[in-house]
Amino acid sequence: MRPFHRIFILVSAIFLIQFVVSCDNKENETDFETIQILYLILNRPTDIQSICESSQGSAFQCATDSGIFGATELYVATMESIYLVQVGSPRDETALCNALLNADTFPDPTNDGSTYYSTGSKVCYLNCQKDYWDRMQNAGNCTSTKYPNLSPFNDDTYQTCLTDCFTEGTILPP
Amino acid sequence: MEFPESNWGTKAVVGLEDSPRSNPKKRRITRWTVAIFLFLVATLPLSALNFRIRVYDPESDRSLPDVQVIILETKTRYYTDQKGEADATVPDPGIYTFRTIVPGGGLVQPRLQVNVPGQLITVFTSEPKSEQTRQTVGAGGITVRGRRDDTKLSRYNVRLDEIKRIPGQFGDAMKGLETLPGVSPPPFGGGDIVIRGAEPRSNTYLLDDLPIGYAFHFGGLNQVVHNDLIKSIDIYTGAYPANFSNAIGGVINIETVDEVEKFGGHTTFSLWATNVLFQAPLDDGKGYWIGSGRVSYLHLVLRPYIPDGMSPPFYWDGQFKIHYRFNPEHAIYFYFIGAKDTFAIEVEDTPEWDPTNEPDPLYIGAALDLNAAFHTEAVRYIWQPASNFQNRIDLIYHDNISYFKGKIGVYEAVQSHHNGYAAFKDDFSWAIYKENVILDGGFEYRNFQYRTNGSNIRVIDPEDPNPDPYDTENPDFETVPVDDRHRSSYMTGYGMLSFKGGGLEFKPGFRYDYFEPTNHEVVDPRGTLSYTFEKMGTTLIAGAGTYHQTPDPRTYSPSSANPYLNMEEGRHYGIGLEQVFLKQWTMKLEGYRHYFESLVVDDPYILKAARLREFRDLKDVRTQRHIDELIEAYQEPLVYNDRMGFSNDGTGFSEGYEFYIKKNLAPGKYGWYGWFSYYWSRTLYNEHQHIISDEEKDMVLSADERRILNQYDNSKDHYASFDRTVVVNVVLGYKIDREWQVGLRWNYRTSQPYTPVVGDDGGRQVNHGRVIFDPEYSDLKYSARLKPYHRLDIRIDRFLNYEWGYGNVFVEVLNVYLKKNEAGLSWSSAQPYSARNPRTIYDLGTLEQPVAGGKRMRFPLINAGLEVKF
Repeated sequence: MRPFHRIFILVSAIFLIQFVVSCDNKENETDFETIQILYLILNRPTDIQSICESSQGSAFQCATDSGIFGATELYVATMESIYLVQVGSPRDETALCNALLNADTFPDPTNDGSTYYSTGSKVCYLNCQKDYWDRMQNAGNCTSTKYPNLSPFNDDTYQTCLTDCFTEGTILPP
Repeated sequence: MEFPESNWGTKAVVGLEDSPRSNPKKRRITRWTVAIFLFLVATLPLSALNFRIRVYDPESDRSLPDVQVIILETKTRYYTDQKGEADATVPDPGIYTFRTIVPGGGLVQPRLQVNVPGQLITVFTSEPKSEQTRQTVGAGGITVRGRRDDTKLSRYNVRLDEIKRIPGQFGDAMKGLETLPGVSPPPFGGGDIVIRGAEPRSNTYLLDDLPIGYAFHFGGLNQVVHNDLIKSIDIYTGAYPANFSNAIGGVINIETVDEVEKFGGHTTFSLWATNVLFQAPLDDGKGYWIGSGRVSYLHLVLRPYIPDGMSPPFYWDGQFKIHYRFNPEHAIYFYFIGAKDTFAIEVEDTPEWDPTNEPDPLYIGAALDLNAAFHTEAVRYIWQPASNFQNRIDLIYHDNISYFKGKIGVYEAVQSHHNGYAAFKDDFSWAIYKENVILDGGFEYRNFQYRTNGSNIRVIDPEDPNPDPYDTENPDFETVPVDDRHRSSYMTGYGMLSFKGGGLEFKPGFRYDYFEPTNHEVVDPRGTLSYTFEKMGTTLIAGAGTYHQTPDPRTYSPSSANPYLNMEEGRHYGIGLEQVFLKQWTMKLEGYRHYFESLVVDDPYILKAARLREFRDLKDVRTQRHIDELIEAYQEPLVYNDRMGFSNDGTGFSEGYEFYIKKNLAPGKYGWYGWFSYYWSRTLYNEHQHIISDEEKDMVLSADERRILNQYDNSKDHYASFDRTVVVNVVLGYKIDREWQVGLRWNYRTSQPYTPVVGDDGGRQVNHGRVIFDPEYSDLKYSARLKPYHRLDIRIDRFLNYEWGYGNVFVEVLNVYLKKNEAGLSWSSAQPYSARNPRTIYDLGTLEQPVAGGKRMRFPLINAGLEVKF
């Protein structure tokens, strides 16, 4: 076979192979968004009862540390009136959380008549409340003189915590 | 008079008698050399100067006897014999002018190249048939092949004289592309076109294979290329060959004039701009130069009528081309192409408190300053060592420049932007075996140079349907500083084989693309297959291909967008039938389906886990804001969970069929010509984003839960904003004689879809004391359409012929039968939703004049102009 013919057959073969074979090196790459979402799903808060008890435990602790007689019961009564729930006996963190987590009403962050609160949104409240009571404890505010004036709803940091949790905050690692 | 083209639009170089065929030893060496180096073929000696001339009439398909041919340079005269041929002699190899008196009194004088003794030069007495773009010359029958016959599927070629005088387009030839099948104008497109369902940005415009930044000046008032620089335009609407890159829609390839015989020029005056072109040969016809440009004076003409604060569009463009052929083997070109547009408007707060007289409250206090420009410089070297091989090298610098300064509400953004590249490109074409086996190939290296600085404004909550730009206490927008300077590489190469024989034509090819920012690498197969039944003039065609396009640099900005974007993808499938009959008629029927994948879309949800903040160079720190940004960058060098704004989530498809029938008329002939095109299509897109349902609006979710929910792709396919089901065009021209020409164009098109307004937000925003009502849209995106659009335009041309050229006075009458065409819906932010808001707005195709009785009389828009060619 002449050299030219060999070259011609070779060139033609290369073209025909290329013509039928396409490749894209991105087709088999991992989807960046999918990884993030899998992480969020796998790490989403599930044991909301424990989170709640931890949060309310901090509130109870502050009430106890204030030394005011009946402060814990007052706190439970306040929560009953805010969330329109009835807390059973013994009126401890567990009972309070059993009631809170099944409350028909929940503080509405947007005041626009929202009606459904997801587990994650409740966790936002509970974690921000825990953060608030822990801060008060660390700041030495759980005293008989200061405790009566404590309320997370009047605290800017608490509001910022909620805003962050509802808009930008994430458990995604940096 | 049009003559056959060699590759890439250079003048035809006829074959060589002393071809490799006549010298076996040389042939082996040549082919081995080509095989090894792909584009090196041994230079062949040139010697004798006796040759033959043939005068050929493509219409009668025969050579013409007893025709006088004068070679102007040597002042020698010849007459063809009974075979239509004549022996001739020239002193040296070179390009000569063959003045030929055609039977019937016509005159043609092509410039053709005489290379070797015994060569057969063919003079065509009229435009060769569209597929006859090759010239067989010499005993060896070597073919110089034009790229124009590269593909039959989904390609339409139009000459300047066919589209320049189409009525209703103000003399701009490129607007005539809208009359071709598969093409439709987008809403408010400003001259852009939609090709088979691809977004306008997915098309690429090339001028002699060189990039142009944009095809039309602001608002589509004028094209950016002088009409008479254009020789013809090829539009590829699908499954185009592998030699085109970086487009997933269509390709518009403008071929410029490549022959100048004498000094001359051309100028056109209109109400808002004037253009001029000068051209002259160089060094006794070894080359030429062409310079052209346009400048607008709309800002002067309209000055008395324009309110304070508004600066109407001002634009200019320029093109310059030099060609020089050193000898038959070596030629060089220089190009400059550029354009600039400016526009500014400021809406001052001059309270009248009358909503019927004031501007829309949305824009009170708003300002916009917009400059856009591009320029392309290129050097091209063509080496043609033999008639069956040509190599072309291009060095290209291309830059798109824009400056934007905008203010709305309390936000102000300034951005200057450079987006261009420097490129080295090589293309070759090698006819391996006569015209039966042809290899085309090439590669290109581009170094993208991208620079943006300023700021971006973006909405903070992507789920807020009515973000308020006037709220200073709880801002709905944020300003994101942008300072990007980076270079990135784009490498591409292709190969394409053409097999022809016995009516069968198979063109397999592939294209390789590499996009450096994301290391995205693809190999795209492309090809067409056709079979021609020569006796019946019928050709069956099919083709398919995969295409990739790099994203807009703004969308892969590392500091304000998504630097992980990949190339967008298109897959084209087409099938068709072409029928040639009665010599001058061509009919084409095609069906297609195009898929679009990985389209870049707005994605308010996509996050980047962490990125390093951009550090501004100290030499660029000029303002307090720069200092604050620098301090912030040092204090918090990492940004976590930054929104990137764009993703490759979009998909789409378009399907349709086209019918096209054309009556050709050769240049210089009198009679009628024109075409009818019918185009049916449907185009659906899907951004694959999460659409918030009514139930979700009542849900309280944490940010992370919403992130999860937002990954739920519940968006549905919707009609593209530019979808038009049916587009029909009738273009007719009648060249009566040397002095008169008339033409008409009728256009019918389904209106584009829109999303119905179903209410308003109750007027929650306030700007400068005025309440703003934002519209609320239906969930059914692009689900309604306005009434179909149709109109008839006519044009009359009167030519005044002189020895030095001609003058042409033309009159266009637009919308002759006064159809009140709906152009869109206009929402007034000053009023709530009602039966009168939104209201229909109409096309500017008619003028209205108040008459007695409170009535208004309508009459057509009339345009007139003067064109001078010398």
